[in-house]
Order: sequence, then C-alpha cells, then structure tokens
Amino acid sequence: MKIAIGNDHVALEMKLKIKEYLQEKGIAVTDVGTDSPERCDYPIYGEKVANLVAHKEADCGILICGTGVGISLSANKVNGIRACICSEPYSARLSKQHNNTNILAFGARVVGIELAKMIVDEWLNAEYEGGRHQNRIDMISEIEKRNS
Amino acid sequence: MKTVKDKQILVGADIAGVPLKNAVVEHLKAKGWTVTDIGVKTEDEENPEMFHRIGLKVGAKIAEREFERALIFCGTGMGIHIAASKCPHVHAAVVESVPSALRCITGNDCNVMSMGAHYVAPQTGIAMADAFLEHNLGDGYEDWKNFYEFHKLAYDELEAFDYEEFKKNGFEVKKLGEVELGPEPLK
Repeated sequence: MKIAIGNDHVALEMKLKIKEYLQEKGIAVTDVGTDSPERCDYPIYGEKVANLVAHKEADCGILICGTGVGISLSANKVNGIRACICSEPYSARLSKQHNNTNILAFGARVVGIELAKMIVDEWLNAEYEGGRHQNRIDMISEIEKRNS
Repeated sequence: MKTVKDKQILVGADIAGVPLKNAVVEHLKAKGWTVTDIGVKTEDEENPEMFHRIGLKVGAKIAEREFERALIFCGTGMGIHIAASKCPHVHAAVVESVPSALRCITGNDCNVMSMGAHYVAPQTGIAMADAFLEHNLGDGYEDWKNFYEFHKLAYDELEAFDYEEFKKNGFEVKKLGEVELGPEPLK
C-alpha cells in the first residue's frame, strides 16, 4: 500500500508523526510536503496529493491543515477525488464504507495526535461496501463530468 | 477564595496531559490570568505524580473553597476527572469540543473542566478553556423558561447530597423544590 500525504505549515508536526506512524506499520508514504514551518498555501499540497491519487500513483491520500477544511476543499476540485474531513473515527469509517473516500483530511488545530491516529486506522481498515452506494458515487462522477 | 472574576485559576495535569495543559496555561497567562499549577509541570519531570492523585489534590482545593474553578488534564481527561469528582463540592466535566465546554458551565455550572491531550489539539483546548472561563450558569439560555432554575435546582440538590442520609431515606432524594422546564425556544 502506498499513501500520499500532504500538509500546510500549521500541520507539519502532526504530519511528521502520522507519517512515522504509517511507516512503522510498513506502509509506503509519498510525502509531498510541506516540510517547512514557513507560512505556505494549502491548495498547493491538496492538489499534489489529489493528483497522485487521481492518477493512481498512490492508493489513497491523507491531508492535514489547521482544520482540514481548506486542504480537502482543494483536493476535491480534482476529478475523481472524494476527500473527507473526519474529526472522529466513526465518520472516518463510514466515509470509506459508504462513500469510498480516497483522501482523508483532519485538522492539527482540532484533533489530538492519538485521536488522529485512531481516525487514520479506522479509515484505512474500513472497506468500501459497494452495492447501493456505487450508484451515488457514479452520480457524483456525473456532476464532475457536467462541470468539467 | 480565588475567583474567576479575579482571573485566578487552578490547574493540574498528569504527564500525559502536560502538552495540552501548557498550551492552555500559556494562553491564559498572556491574557492576564494568575495560574496556580499543582500537577506535573513539564514533560521531562522526574517521577511525575499519577493522574488520580493530582485529580484528588485539585478536587480538594475546590472542596476547601480555595479556588472557584479548575482546569485538569490527562491523556483522555477521564481518569483525572473521576478523581476530582470524589471530592465534595466538585461538579466536574470531561469535554472534547467547544460546544460541550460551553455547555458544562452554562448548563451544569461545572467548577472543574477536564480535557484529554490525546484527543484535543492545543488550539481547540484553548478555545474550550476560554468558553469555560468566560461564562456562567444560564448564559445564552435567557429565553428558555426555567432553564436556569431547573439546572440550579439540580446543582443545589447535588450540593446537599449525603449518601448515608440518602440510603437511610430508602434511596429517595431529599428534594429542595420542583421546577418545570419550559419548552426549548425556537432559534
């Protein structure tokens, strides 16, 4: 499994801890940055991870900013991306089971590191259920096509 | 008693709660608060005290009316809160969000609020501490008939509660009154 990870300057410390956590589990991580505490712009990193996932150069992605909002909004503008901010594990699990989310986002200003790890675990371990859910995901793809 | 009005606050954390506690303390001090810290001070402290003992010490200072309110921290916020709650006159809450931090004071008149460093990020913890310290029972519920009286009655009966008396009374609560809570007003 290969995960792409990206962040803005606010989330640098949390990104480094999550990256280490994933690598300890034997997961390959492509880190698009930022690795600097200097102020930067989250859309850059949101788009980088989104493109890796959309072009199947990563299996899925994790994005972190202050709240997770800006960086996931950026990623969701890329066709084929279904990015979701989860502040607790239950919605992380359901977002994968029902919505087949391919990018997980959360906020370094919002969740503590242990909760962030739980959210990541719950999301990675969940499996997309398909079935009736695929119809709605196809409808989302149709929205993308109508607005390309 | 050291009061919130005088910007006096008591804090205590175990080793796991230190990072969150320190972020909150730094913020409060910058706002002019006097912070009395009776728990683990730093992450590299030698032989840091256990969470529940710090909780009991904080609870005692509330029970003895030395401080009006306190903020406590551990990994989850739970263990230290259970300990503080063993002391008389402590009305403690474990919270994880700004709405619940606000509600624990405006709805339950809590005097001790607990947070977990594992779950709550420093900036959110700061916002929660501000919510807790800047409000009083009933704030924001002025339009809700009897909201204040209803919750005050519960608080007063809990203050008056004595377990042995309660047991002797056949586990019937000695009521101090009756209040009918009005319907929640439409927003």
